Amino acid sequence: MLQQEYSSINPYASIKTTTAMKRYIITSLFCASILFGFSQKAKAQLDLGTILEAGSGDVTTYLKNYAEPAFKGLGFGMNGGWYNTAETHNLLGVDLSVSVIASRVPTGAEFFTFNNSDYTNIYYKDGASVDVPTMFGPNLGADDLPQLSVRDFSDADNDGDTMEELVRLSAPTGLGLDEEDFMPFNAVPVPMAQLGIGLFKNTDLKIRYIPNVEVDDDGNSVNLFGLGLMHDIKQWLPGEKLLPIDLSVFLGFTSLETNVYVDKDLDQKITMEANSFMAQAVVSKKISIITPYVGLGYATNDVTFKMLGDYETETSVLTDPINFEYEDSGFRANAGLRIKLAFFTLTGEYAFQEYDTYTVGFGFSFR
Amino acid sequence: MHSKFIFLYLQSVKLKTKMRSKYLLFALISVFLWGCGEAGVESDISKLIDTDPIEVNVSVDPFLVNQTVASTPVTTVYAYNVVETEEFEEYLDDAETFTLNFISYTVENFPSGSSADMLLDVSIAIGGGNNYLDLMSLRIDDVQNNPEDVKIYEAGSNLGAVNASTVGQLESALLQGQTFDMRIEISGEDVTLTQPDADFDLIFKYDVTARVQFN
Repeated sequence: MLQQEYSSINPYASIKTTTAMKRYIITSLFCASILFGFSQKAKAQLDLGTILEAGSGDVTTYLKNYAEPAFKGLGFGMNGGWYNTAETHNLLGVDLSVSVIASRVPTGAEFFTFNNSDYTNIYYKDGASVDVPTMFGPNLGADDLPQLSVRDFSDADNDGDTMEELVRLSAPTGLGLDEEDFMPFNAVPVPMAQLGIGLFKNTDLKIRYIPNVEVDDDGNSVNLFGLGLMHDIKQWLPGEKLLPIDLSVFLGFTSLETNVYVDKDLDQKITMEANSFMAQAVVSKKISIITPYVGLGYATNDVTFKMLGDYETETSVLTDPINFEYEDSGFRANAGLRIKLAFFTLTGEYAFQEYDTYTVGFGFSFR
Repeated sequence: MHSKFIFLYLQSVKLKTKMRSKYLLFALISVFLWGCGEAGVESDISKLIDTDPIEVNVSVDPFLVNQTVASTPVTTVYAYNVVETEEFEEYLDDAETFTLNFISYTVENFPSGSSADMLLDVSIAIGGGNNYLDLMSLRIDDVQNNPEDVKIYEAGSNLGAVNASTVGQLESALLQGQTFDMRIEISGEDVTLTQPDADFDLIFKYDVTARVQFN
């Protein structure tokens, strides 16, 4: 009897959706959707212990690189949509706005370099490194994807050789989002809604808030909280009446958390927390119904992804096996235009940063 | 518009050893991604599947020890279930093609001090039947050098005089989830043994790629 069995790769599993619109909506809730999907698939087909057996390090490293544009796009996008004018409300004036921010994924972020030296059990056998698509890379066919090899790290064939190749598989392809018709470029959409209210001394308080909402019966949840302050500094300048513009400073913080159970009974879950902060000076000039505005300042964001809980594998129990974080900061400049018709506002904005963002918004503003 | 959520991962593996079975869990990469549009996602899964060592015996009459024998009788050895049906079972539903990328052989444990050339006629029977199809004829010179991982067939090259029809049938069989057996008829040439019997091992490796398409 001659037999030699090697690992098998479970096939891709799929969940069909219906439209490009739905796809982008879900993509806009990227982290939540990915977590929910992960959760569902994990329950249905995936032995997470299996995934982690070979080493959470490799999984973490690959996943961090692969998903980077999505997470970074989310982080940059969360800083958008805070304001559409430098003019603050009168006391108890209010505004309510809904925005969609599209964080454009740079061309350079469509691929990342897979370096053998960064991995323990996965390797590219035809060289020391190879470029592979990120999640926001093109959807390539198997002929255009490099094959990555998996080492027989557990000595599956009992030959004492844990370095030999066990299986090869095509590197995960990108999504090919820019090939879709819905958006003309590769971007991470981030929806946002907020309420603004005028306080004393020409200061506005902006609030973004989604309570901890359980989105299904499994206890998977999402919550969002953000606070912003816009203060009119023109009032403190000498001769401010002579200045034909509005001038304010803005500080804003947004935090998004998602929590998805892999197995609630075992307290296994995946969490994602994204925080963004921005400080800017804002100048605007109201001309009839049109208000052009520009902002300049500094922005930071960080996104943390964790797989928490105890995961039993064939050989061990792994506790909190995956944990990675992205941090970005830098100057942010933006320019936008608001059109106000009676109480209703329409806004378009472009922000220059590592991931440029496009914002369109709709709302109303009173006082 | 179709899109989908994809997980690419390595799943648990049922590893059979000679006497018992166990589940060996392993995986390296967990990649989940969203969406793939109408084009779907295409991926290759490749495995280098080797046979267990095939024991081969070459013998000469005792009075011919340490003498060169022009040829030895043909002996026949078999390898069964070379590709286990469950190897690719999980993605057969999505598999579009199977490709035999290459075949190689390795000789192990040929006794030192002895020497021989070997002639092999390799045939395969698909699905466990007795209908053996000629795959290739092969000559191994100086088997005493214990050659390792020598390619005797490579898709798209002129290497090896393989029967293309048999390769095609083999690939079709894999696509249908069938296994196959090997029959190797071996004879020696210019055989010089230091003892009447010489045992050595032959190992064949089949590199196979399943191309899968997920829509």
